[in-house]
Amino acid sequence: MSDTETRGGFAGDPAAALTVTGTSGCCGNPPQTTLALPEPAAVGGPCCGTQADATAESSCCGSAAKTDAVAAGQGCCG
Amino acid sequence: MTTDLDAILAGVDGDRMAGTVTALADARFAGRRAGSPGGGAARRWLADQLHILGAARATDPFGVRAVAEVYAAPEVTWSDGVDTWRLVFGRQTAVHLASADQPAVCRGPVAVAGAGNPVGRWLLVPDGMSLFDTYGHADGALGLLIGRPVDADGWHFTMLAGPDPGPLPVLTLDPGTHAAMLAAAPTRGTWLAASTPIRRVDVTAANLHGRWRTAAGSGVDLLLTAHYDGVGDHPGLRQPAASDNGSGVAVIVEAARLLGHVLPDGTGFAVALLDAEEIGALGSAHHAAHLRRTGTSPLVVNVDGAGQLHEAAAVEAGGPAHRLLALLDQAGRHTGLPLAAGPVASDNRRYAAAGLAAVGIGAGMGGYHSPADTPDRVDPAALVAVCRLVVATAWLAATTPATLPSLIGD
Repeated sequence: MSDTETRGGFAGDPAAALTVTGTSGCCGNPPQTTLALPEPAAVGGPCCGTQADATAESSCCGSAAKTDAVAAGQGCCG
Repeated sequence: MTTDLDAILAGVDGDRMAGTVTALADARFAGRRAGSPGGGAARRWLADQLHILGAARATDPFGVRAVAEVYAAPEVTWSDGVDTWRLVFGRQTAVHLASADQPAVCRGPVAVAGAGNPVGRWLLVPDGMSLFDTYGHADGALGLLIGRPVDADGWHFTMLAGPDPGPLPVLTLDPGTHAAMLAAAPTRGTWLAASTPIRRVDVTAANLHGRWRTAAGSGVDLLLTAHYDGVGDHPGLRQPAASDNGSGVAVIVEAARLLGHVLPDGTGFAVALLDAEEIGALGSAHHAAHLRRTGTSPLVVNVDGAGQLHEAAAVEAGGPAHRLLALLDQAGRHTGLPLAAGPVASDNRRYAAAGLAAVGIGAGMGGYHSPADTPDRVDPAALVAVCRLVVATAWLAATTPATLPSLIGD
């Protein structure tokens, strides 16, 4: 199998994985700059709840982070 | 060298991985909550698998405080003054992580938080009102009732990481029940009777390590990781944790089976099957701190969620991971698996935060933190695709020398 015959790999710059959109919201932190994980979860399910959770709760989100998460349609911890 | 890689990739066995997922999801492991008997039994089973694969094994225990445990099914009944309903645990109601322990059933009128006297009442929290704000309206209340979305199968999600317990019992309600109560609450005869049996237990969790090779000379040091813990069963409610993260463990164990004895001399190769990810990624935090103390800097590849594969696998990287990302990209092209930058909020972040080059890979889940996370929803083709990616990345890392030393440690 030739590396050029498939459509695998990153469509764009792999380095984009170092600055993943959403990791500054309440469900994640910039991975290189913090030792604190507000809420571990995995891709594919709601990270830490749902957008409705993000709207309704503020258990582990600062108001700015919560606002960002809601705006981005992400979940929220707790 | 790609001929060697293709021969290894041909050995990736989807049935074997599916078998691992099924075994980890078995009732004897009870959802594998950190510190539970089921979690310990799963770890011993995994240790046996690593022994069979020829790894030198080590178990590394660590303490975890205040792990939430719902120790009985909550009894919840409500009435609009005419009809009475008993709510189904897991579907219509669940105990909120912020709840106080209330073992006895307490009955009282239902009111809306922020509207009227809260004393002696169960308070419905309106959409948009935060838990923090609700406490300001809840002096003397019996407890709080929060609407929360359920999954596509109608199950509440179980979370173990989140807010500390507050002063009041707190139940979550599915949106339909929450809406029905809000509509009925102004009616004089509306009442609710409920218990919230939840406690916090201090436990000992443990990571399981397997090592096949120690790095020597200029050889690369590789560490493959996945968390084996789940959120655990509830009383009367199985939560098998097949996708999250039996699937990731199956991928890592299979990758180790294929790579452990064939990597070039001088290459370091180990796996860490991590505990307590669901409680704040504490297992990886414990391990990352150890690596930092000992000055060890492996390249870390973490898999969390390989149960379903849609258009692409998500990749999140941290630390000095440019070279690792380039290798992952090359591996994705070689195996035909599309990759997309996306959040993988898992153990990889702990390693990255410790300064290690780390990537997290998440393909997708067939279910998540609920009884719907069953082995039949784990797609063997997804397991195979992610395993091939991991194997190819590790092989390329071991056989592709860095052409130039980086001034920034990359």
